[in-house]
Amino acid sequence: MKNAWRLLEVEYMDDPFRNLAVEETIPRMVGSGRSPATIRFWHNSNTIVLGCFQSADLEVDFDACKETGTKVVRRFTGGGAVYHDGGNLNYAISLKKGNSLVPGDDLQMVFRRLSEGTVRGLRNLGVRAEFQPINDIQVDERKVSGAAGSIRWDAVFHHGCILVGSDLAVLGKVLKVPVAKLADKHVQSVRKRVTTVRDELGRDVSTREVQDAIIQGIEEAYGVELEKDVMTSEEMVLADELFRTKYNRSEWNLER
Amino acid sequence: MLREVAHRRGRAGAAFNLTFVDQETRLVFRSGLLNEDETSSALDQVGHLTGIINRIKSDSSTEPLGLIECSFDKKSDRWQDFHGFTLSSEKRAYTFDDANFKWVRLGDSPVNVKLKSADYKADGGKLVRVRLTEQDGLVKSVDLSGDFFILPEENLEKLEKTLLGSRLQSSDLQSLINRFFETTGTRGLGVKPEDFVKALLLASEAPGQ
Repeated sequence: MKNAWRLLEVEYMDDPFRNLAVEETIPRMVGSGRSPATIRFWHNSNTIVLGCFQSADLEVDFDACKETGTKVVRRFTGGGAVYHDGGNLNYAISLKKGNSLVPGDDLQMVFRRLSEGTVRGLRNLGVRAEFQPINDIQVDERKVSGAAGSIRWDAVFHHGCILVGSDLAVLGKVLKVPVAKLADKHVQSVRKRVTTVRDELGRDVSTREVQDAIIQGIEEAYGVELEKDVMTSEEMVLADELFRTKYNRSEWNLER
Repeated sequence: MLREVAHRRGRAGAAFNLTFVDQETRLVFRSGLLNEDETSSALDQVGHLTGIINRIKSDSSTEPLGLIECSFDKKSDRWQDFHGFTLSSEKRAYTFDDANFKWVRLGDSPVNVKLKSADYKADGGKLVRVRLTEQDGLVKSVDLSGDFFILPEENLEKLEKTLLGSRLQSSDLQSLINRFFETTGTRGLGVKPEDFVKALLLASEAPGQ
């Protein structure tokens, strides 16, 4: 019998703070053994999600955020700032540490291995996606998906966002891109470094269609079966606590 | 006890460093370039200062100081700029306030504080962004940020704390940061210990505000 992963579609589209609280809840519970291996799909309306080591002041154009109604939230994993809107699909994989897919303590290996399902899903759709170390999925040197993750709480955690049909014009406005970052990429702006599934396929694509393709990609890549389920009551309690004490606070989101 | 004498002599004058060592403390006098009169005055005063150094050292407001340094000011004809450093791993820095005859912890007074910043893109890796304040060549405060990965995540803040009071100098930073990564079991992805060293040095070279 195939291994089963729980498939969660818990999301708070207009509350990125609650979304990120759930994002931390799942690996904590999976690591402690109280929840099964899980993949979660979710959306945010327009939001900047900062990496846990980033400076909000240095990365975010707050005037542009105000103008475009973009919120700013910090995640618990490292990596760079990303822009989410309804045209962006988020996925998060939480496995108990020691899972045979990702043995050991090598975060680079986690990114590589746990991007495979997504790469496969995108290819099934017709996008020539490739994993690009350290943590990107690219199409012809343009980023279509970025990942981040951690190994902690006795769990292996990998999450990523996929630009399906996001508004790249807003993305270019709300994120400040440091000159030093672009220096070795031979391109001038964040607009030119990224692409969307829609642009690659030359047609409108829903995030649902991409999600279905990734579910299939994951089942093929890892030999698992995804079973739709809901959060446990224990998870709801922890998510609520993390929302109140961490993700709904500007001390966490903006102070660094 | 006098341990080391180093001197240079040239047409413009002579310079010497004298190092006195007792059980706990190295006391270093750095004269800078002096002419003959200045040299003899400086040496006279060294004699006097080594006589009272125990009183200076024993100011009870500080932790034991492992190193005390000072330099000679030709204009005012006196040894000045007394700095003390603790031996503990945090290497706290003090400056001697001779008007009040006591040590003042550096960082407690806002004199000579410079705000500096730099962005450093690690080779094949991520961006390290440094914002620091420097006082007399030492790190007074430091914020490290960027799009790298560090495990465990909590250790970036610990690294920032470790850097407080350290000299913005390549070998000091290198050994401090390497030792931090080793002893704490910190692992980086997209960033290595030497990238933090390079970023900090780049910031230290930046014009201050």
